[in-house]
Amino acid sequence: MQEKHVDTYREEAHELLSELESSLLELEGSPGDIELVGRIFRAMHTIKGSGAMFGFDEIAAFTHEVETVFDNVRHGTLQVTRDLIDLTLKARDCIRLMLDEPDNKSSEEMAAAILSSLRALVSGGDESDTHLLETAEAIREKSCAPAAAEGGSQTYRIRFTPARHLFRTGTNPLPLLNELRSLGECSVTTYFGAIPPLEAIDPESCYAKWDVILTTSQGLNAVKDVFIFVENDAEVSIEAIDENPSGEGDVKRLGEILVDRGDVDRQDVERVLQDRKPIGELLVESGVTTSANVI
Amino acid sequence: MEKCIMTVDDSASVRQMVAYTLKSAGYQVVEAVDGKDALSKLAGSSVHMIITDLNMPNLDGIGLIREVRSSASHKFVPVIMLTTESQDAKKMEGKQAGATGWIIKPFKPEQLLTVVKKVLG
Repeated sequence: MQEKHVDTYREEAHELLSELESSLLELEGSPGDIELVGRIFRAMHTIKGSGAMFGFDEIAAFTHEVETVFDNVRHGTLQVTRDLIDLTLKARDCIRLMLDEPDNKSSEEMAAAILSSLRALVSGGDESDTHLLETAEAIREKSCAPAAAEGGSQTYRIRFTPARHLFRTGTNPLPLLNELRSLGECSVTTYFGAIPPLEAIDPESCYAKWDVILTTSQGLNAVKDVFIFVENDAEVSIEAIDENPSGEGDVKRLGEILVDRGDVDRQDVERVLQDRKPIGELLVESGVTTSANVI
Repeated sequence: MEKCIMTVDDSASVRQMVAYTLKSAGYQVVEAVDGKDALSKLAGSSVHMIITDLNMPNLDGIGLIREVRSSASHKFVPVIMLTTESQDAKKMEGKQAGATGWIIKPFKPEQLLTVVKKVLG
């Protein structure tokens, strides 16, 4: 199937290159025509974006540089000149060569020469003031995978308070909670306290908020990634908590959180703490040491 | 019920790849070549999500997002922008216009499906 997409891209790129040529020739006669400049920019943008999608990295990298020059024209920081049009027509020929003869190394030299001349044009002749050539690596998509998982599990308290207008961004908060659930063991508490009386409710507003305890081995970045699209439309706090009973203070902290949320009574927490066996006794029972060592 | 996703892009190859990926994952797909085409196909349809390129003729992605957010029937439909890394300002503009999220091009099919699942559940 990938081959079919690549064939479609080649066909599309050839069509765009023909359109590019006719637009550039028209622009020669009407250098102030912003609509034409936009058309040229879009053609290159599509050649670049789709090229990167289907493995034509050199075409994508080269076209990006040329597209950037025309972006300057769109924003009025560069004028359309005969030199610019000539160079862009040469760029078009170079892209065609890369497309039709990907193994032909002469396109590399051709591309370098064109880019050097374009840079001189943009900088007004001062080549020392030009930006670096963007390589195929630079425009390849950066991995958005979360950071490597920690060696063990970590428990987080996540407080997710959407802005009232959240629904108006097309966001449904429930899939985000499901995504948290997919990361590990999860306990979700919903707070409806902000919901006004029925007569005052705006059905397009989000009034709920959530408090989540999540134990996961996927790492903090995986948790942060859940909320990547709602950063500006919600308050999100993610706090690592320690549920490991290595010390009474650490256990109480989780217990206090559960008491605050109303999940447990304070008396229940205190009773459990009192009933908890000392660490020494636990170690002897598990056989890792003897009672002589822990007295 | 199968969910229906609209893919809007003036690039036939990208549309084809997005449509193939989504159909393979069990979604119904409607294709549109630009924002204006998307709006005409949205009318009277039950689309559950829109995935749109930003730079398109006739009506661009930002314009499409604004139109969708001001329509009575589709204002809550999630809209995902296809953007490139160099388009940070456009991405912000899209978010301000009401976009739900984004996918950065180039992307792999599985990354597209991850974003769809994130938003649709």
